[in-house]
Amino acid sequence: MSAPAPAPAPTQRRMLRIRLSDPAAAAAYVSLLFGMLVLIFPVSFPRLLADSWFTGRLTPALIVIAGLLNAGVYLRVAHLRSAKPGLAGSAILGMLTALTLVGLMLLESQVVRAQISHVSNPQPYVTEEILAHTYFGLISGLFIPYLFLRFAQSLKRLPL
Amino acid sequence: MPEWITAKWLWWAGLYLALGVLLPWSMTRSWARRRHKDFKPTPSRLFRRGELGLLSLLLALSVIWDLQRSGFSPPMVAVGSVLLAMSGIMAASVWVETYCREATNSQLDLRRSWVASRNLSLLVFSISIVTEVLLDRLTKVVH
Repeated sequence: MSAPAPAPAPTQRRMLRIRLSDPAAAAAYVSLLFGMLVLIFPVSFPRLLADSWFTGRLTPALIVIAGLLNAGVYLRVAHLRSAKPGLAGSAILGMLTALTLVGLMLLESQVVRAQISHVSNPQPYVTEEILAHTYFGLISGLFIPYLFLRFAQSLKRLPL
Repeated sequence: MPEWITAKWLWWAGLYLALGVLLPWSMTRSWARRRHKDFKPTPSRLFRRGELGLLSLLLALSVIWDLQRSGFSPPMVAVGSVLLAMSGIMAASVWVETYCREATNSQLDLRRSWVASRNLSLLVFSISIVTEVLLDRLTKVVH
């Protein structure tokens, strides 16, 4: 009686290792899109951001946008390299995105509060501050979490 | 004429692209035409060791300098400067790593170096150009 054929070994997918050039391209396109919106709608786009900031909707919206974009980039890179996205890596990425944006927006709220109390006609200046801070916050939320993840992966060889 | 045509940032971006990328490439093409007809230089071959990353760091430094002299609040200037510096340093590190790998005969993928330096340089360039647009707007609001 012949021995049964051995079952094929399950293909072990390697863990995903992030390269900084992966999120850099996505962040660059978002940055260019933001710049285009500022140029095409020079009055209404900054006003929309300022209104959202004063009603408290800007920070959650930015966290959702940056979180979705980061998740999209992470999954796309995993698919392209046929690698397995780590659960810890995904969790750290999401947490760092939210922390970066919340931290920067808290900083901005301090700045705007100070400007409103010290400047006689603060509206135009505050709108510019919110516009610039939203921009830097969004790009930081797209780039800094990957930077930390990359360093964590290269220094500790963690299975992220 | 639309207002943005006369904007400083547009000329600045054009100068950077012309002097930083197009000029070296056209010089390479002219050298190849005169001396080596079979040699077909492309930007991806010219900058394949990550030289664009080094150029990006210089660009980021010039924008940080503009940001430091702007009328934005100090925390804002700090956030923008740190973001520009980090992306510039990461872009330049591609050039450094490629050099180190080449010098020590380590495993080197020039295609990967080119893609990494191109993507990171695109990021630095786009952050720089949007920052200059924001600085241009602020100047008009303040004055």
